[in-house]
Amino acid sequence: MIVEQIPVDQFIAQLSHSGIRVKLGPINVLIRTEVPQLAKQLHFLYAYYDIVENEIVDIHTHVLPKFSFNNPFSSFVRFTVDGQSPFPPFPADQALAALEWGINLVIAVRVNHLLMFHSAAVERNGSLILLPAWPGSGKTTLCTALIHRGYRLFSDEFGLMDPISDFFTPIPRLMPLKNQSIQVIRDYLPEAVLGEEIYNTQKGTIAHVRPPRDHIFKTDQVARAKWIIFPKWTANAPLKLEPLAQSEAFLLLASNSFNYEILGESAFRAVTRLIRKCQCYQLVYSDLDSALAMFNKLTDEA
Amino acid sequence: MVEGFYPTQAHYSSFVEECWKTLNYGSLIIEEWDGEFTVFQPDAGKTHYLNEMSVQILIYIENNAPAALSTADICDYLVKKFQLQTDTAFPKQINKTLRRFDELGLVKQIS
Repeated sequence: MIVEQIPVDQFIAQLSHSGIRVKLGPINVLIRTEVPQLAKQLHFLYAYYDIVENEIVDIHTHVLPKFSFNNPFSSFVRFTVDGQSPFPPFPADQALAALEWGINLVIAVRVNHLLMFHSAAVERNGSLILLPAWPGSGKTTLCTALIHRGYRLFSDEFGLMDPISDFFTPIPRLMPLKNQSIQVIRDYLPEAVLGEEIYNTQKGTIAHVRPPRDHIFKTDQVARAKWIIFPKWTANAPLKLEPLAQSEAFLLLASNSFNYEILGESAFRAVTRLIRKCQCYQLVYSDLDSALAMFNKLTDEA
Repeated sequence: MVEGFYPTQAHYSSFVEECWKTLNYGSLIIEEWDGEFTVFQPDAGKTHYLNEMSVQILIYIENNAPAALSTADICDYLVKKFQLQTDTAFPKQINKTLRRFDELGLVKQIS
């Protein structure tokens, strides 16, 4: 069963009572909330995610209303994971952002059976493109464009690599567009499904892209990487794709990983194999048309 | 120590005579990338990014084990291997590298 098969009223009731267990790629997350607005957003944006009933839950989350004596007329919410609150309270209208950041934080901290890169990852023709990038690189915008133009979403945030088999595992989550990127995507991809805009977050205005239905349904289809491309959006810059020295790619990728040091030797060996098997590039781009043409050319030639 | 290598610089005499051995060299995993090296050190769980000269320092010390090598020995070897024109800054730089290796647990100084 998937989320959209549950009537919205029943979904809201279940979220506030025992919670809903959803499958996010290789991770099962229990979500509970008594915040009706968040429940409605989840019913829409999580519409295609599987509900798991008889599987172990990896992460127990709860978003609950929080009364503030300092701001008695404002409404706040608190995000908790396994009963602990890693963040200060958020304004209630930012509940979805709090939940998404909270789940990402827990994934980044806990998932240590896989080597985890801070990276978007998309697949075409059976091979994966890893797009490691730092905040502000335009990673989510580029990833959103790619997955609406023939590339399958693995993640816009986590490249999850099995350090033994070298396969990457999809974890297609909501993709948070920020600030000007929201209108860029609305103009460029009218078919993209976005949630409500959330204002004044610590990252500005955010709107979440709902991954396409068939991408979520294919979360069991793994792939090996063939390209590692470090993207950087720069205003008005002509498109430039330059090969990257393997030693530099190693350094960038290892330092970009959330758990490289935790995994130790297996991570060193996995990154070594990954770099040796992949073509590594640095990409500077400013417009999505030329970037998509470059990606198509690269993956067509493979 | 190699006679005549830096004999006129009296203030260098102390550190060029310092002697070094590798530490757990056999456990290191070394990968080459067109003249650059990544070195994984299991004892510390750390990855080091080294250039060819730095790796050659480790290899040369290891190849001479169990004997320890002085900084001057190592400098002399590197000058020949890389056909360098040396100046007084070179042994200082090599000694600095060796001390850094010592901090990282890649070599140890033998008193």
